[in-house]
Amino acid sequence: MVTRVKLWMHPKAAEALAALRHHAGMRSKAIGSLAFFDELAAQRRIESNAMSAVVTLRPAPVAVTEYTGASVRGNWPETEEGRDLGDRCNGITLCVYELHEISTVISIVDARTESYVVALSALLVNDVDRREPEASSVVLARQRLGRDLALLFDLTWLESV
Amino acid sequence: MKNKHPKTVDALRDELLADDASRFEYREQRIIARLGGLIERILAVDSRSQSDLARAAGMSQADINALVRGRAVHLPTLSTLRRLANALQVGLTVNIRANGEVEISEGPSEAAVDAPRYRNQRTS
Repeated sequence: MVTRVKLWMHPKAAEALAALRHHAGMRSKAIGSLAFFDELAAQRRIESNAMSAVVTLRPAPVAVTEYTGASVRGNWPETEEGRDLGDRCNGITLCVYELHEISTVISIVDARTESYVVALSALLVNDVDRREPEASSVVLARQRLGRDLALLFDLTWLESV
Repeated sequence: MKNKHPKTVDALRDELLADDASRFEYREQRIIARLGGLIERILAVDSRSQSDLARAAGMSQADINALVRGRAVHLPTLSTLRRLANALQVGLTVNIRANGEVEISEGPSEAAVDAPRYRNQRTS
């Protein structure tokens, strides 16, 4: 069984990355993030179709939370698309990456033969966060995971080909 | 700021990768992300730590961590890749095309075929 993996993006994340292209020195950070999203989706594609029992996120995120069972079914909107995803969704993985001074939250939605890699948000890691020890970064990242989960369920993701 | 976002992911890609320099940077960053995933996978299979690899490759643990987390800004030099391959006991094929594009892929080198990972592959 072949799993189709696609990269999607929430408008908030796309808006943040698009805004960076106008700032000197920031454009390359946005390019780096886009490259990372594409590579993550590509790696997911390879691993999903490699008959491996466990699909591992690589490179490793700063923080990760996984949802399975009833918690992934009841939160989708009461639309045709929402009900369809609720029926098909087997699991949601939510993770934070910090790359090129941009902190991003990415969700991976496994829905039977389809898997959606959704970039939910992209924020500049400010200097204050940078000075925090690693443990604090992880705590901050986990707090963001809870907040950004709602973005996934609004189903306004931007399509990729 | 509402409605300022690109309408599709591909529209964003077109905006960000409008010139050759941006496209080159994009490809380099994809390779860095791929290399980071590759290093992390091998470390997991071999049950090795980043600090162990750093010592073996003569690199700082921060540099290894940057690669594994996809945070490295530039591709490692050929000399660094050679030390990484040696420390990981894995073959790395570096393909530099005439247009400057670089590809790095994993493949068992002659020196690496006796490493446990490949020995297991050959016998399975």
